[in-house]
Amino acid sequence: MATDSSKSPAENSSDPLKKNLDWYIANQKELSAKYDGKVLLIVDQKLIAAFDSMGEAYTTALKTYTLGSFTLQPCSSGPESYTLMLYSPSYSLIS
Amino acid sequence: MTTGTRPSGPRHQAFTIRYNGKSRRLISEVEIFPAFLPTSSPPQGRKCKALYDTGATHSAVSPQVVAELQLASIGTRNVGVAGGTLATTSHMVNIALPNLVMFPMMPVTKMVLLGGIDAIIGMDILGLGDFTVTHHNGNTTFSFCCPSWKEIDLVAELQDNQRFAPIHSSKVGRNSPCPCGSGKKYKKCCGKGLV
Repeated sequence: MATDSSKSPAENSSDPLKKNLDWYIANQKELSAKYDGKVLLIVDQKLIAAFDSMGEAYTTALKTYTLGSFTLQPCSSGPESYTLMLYSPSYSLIS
Repeated sequence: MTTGTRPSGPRHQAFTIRYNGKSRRLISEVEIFPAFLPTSSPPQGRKCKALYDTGATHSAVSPQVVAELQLASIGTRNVGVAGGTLATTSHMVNIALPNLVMFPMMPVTKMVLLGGIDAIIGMDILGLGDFTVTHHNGNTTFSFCCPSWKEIDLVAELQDNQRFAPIHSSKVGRNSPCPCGSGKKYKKCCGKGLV
């Protein structure tokens, strides 16, 4: 698969973790209705399991998957679950 | 200067940072580790200059911290700033604030930071406890307690203070300066008609 080498992995749509985020956003409504407040373990755009805490999700995921191959996604409605908002105007200079 | 106390309750942890004069930024040294369980021995950490930012919804670390600690990604996260959003990575860390106020298994976002700042402590951490900033006598002091210990309501404290303050004290002499601070004699100010 061709990739755009000028972009960072997170910006590249072929990055598996970026694909996992896109999949989460596309299915967020259904996921949040069922797993609100949970932490989702997502691999290859598939939901593997839902956990009560980030620590539990992290330690369990490492038993099966290598770091960098899975996404741990807090699940809730709205963009807050996947967006860090910086309200200080100075941050606009570094984006 | 940093001081720390542990208020009543076995799980409460707190720290206080005091500046000489007013500070325009709330900064302290923190230590960041690759994520580890509290039951295991900690891996090599990195001391970082952290900015406490109530305008950040989540905590963040610089790309240098990610590289030096070799933090693998646990997902992609968007960063919303003035002018749009950008995609970056998130990473799992343990964060030690002053006085060993520890936060294990915290997801942080990688982003470029300014002014020699290595990390941002955002509302995901600050929201886990009580956070105060004061400038009494012109000196900035900020304090943090986790988990939340009590509500701090300055309006209520001020009202209580005024309710119990002895405005008309019988111990004030009629020719003494008025305790209200007006500079007038008590007999010609708050004590008028009373003495």
